[in-house]
Amino acid sequence: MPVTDKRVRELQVGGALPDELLRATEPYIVRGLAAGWPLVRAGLQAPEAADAYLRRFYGDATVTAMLGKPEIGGRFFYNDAVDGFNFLSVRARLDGVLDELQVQRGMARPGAIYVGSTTIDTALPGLRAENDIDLDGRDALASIWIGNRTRIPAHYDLPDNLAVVAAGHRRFTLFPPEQLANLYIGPIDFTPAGQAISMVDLAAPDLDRFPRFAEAQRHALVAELGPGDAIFIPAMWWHNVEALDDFNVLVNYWWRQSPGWMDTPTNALMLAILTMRELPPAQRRAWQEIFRHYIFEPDEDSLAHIPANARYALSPLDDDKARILRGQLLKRINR
Amino acid sequence: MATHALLNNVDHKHLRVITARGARYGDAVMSALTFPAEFRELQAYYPIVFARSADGSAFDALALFGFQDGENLFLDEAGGTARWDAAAIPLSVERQPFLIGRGAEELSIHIDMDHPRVTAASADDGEALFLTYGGTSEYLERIASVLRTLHDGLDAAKAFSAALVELELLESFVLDIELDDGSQNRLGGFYTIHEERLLALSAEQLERLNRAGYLQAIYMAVASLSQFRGLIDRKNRAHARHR
Repeated sequence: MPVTDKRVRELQVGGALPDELLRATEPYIVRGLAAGWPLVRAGLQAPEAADAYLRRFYGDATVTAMLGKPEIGGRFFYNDAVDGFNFLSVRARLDGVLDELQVQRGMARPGAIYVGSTTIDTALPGLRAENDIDLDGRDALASIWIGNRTRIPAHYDLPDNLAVVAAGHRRFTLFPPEQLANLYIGPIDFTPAGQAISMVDLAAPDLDRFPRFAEAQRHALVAELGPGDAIFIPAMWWHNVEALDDFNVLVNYWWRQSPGWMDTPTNALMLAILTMRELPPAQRRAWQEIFRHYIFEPDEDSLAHIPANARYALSPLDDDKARILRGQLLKRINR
Repeated sequence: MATHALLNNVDHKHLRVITARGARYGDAVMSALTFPAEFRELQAYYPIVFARSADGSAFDALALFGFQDGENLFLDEAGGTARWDAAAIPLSVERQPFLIGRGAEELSIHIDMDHPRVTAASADDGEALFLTYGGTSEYLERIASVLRTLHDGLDAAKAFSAALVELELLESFVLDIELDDGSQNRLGGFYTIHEERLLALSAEQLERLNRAGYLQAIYMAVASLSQFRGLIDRKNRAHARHR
């Protein structure tokens, strides 16, 4: 059951997605955006048809597959002690995983199988020739996600995201970035799949353990998608993703609005932990103001007193200035 | 005139360095500087001898590759692709085309821009020095470590050769070589360990050498002289090929 009745807004789009929608800061659904894909049409016939269609593009690539016992109910998570995970990650041939998904489709209590974020052009070269979305020339990373009934806890991704259900059904539960404190996020550097996740089980939220989740729930938006439907998830929005059928395929596109030389701000967070978190409160507050001044509320006027030629790192970066900064940082932190 | 530049990730962002061996990359040299910490590895391939340093004030340890200037008998250029026929190469060769620069405190990496190993941005052979966004490539990390080891090693070598001089353990030698074709060749101007004096050292002197870590290096240098046989064989084979 969804944690809220509030739905992600649906937009009618004729043809390609316009640029302003690809730079949106709120999520939206476009029904039937990929209705014309041969993969979507195959999936509407039967899981076996989508499976057979995918195999036409398969060479011999290996992929990372997450395997969970039936008891986990498809929720890929930590183990009880949070010193490991409740699933196994294995490298396997994709056709072998498709075989196993077929086997599990006949089971009363199937094990959970998930091939997550797999680069399409590597694993299934040629698939995108007839199954692709035009992103107004953006250089996006196109990935495929294949599995049975699975639940991926709420997490954010750094790039903007357009996700297309190619086969099966999916439910996305979204929370705005500022719900961080109400989502009870787990470890940031020990994660099941790279991103920190909410410890709250959205299928059965335990409000005794996680009382602030009730507040997050008030800001939640739900999107239920079928074959060919697409959802735009803005960068940094929390999303919990449930795959609802016994065979589900998702295709997604990730792209950044920032230049290539910009690093993930996660590095800055780690560096801030290393350099600031343990400071005395008064010093930390001073640094908070410094960051507000230079980073979070940058203001051209605040630099007016420095001649343009003398602003160095305070002037807009380009790839060479970024190289200099990176070179300095590499030297400084290597101690 | 070589152009030495302080390496940086902006001016040199696209630079690549060819790591293949060959005369055209500057490998046709008769000898290379070495230092005690690499004697053990090098003595399995090269004679290790000593020569007066350029200013004449001290002695440098050298690994010998040939008998005359520009002759490297380990370079095998047959068949188009050159190779260096030994499993160990002195770090002073490995470091090319990089140099150590001495700033205020820290060592910095310089590069000889005119060195034939330095190649253009568009070349797809060779190793990149920097990653796409200015980070340090694994190759450059390795070079940095080579330069550090070399710098420390050559520093240690000074004290080592000073100890040899103090104990009068170096003697000059001349090697007269008759090649298979009857030609006479002479190798002179080098020094080696004076074995009789080495054997005559007192227990206290030997202990001092041993404690300083020099005794093993001395015996490695002595043992390395058996590589002259192999070097002469290489010379004979090279002569036979060229006749």
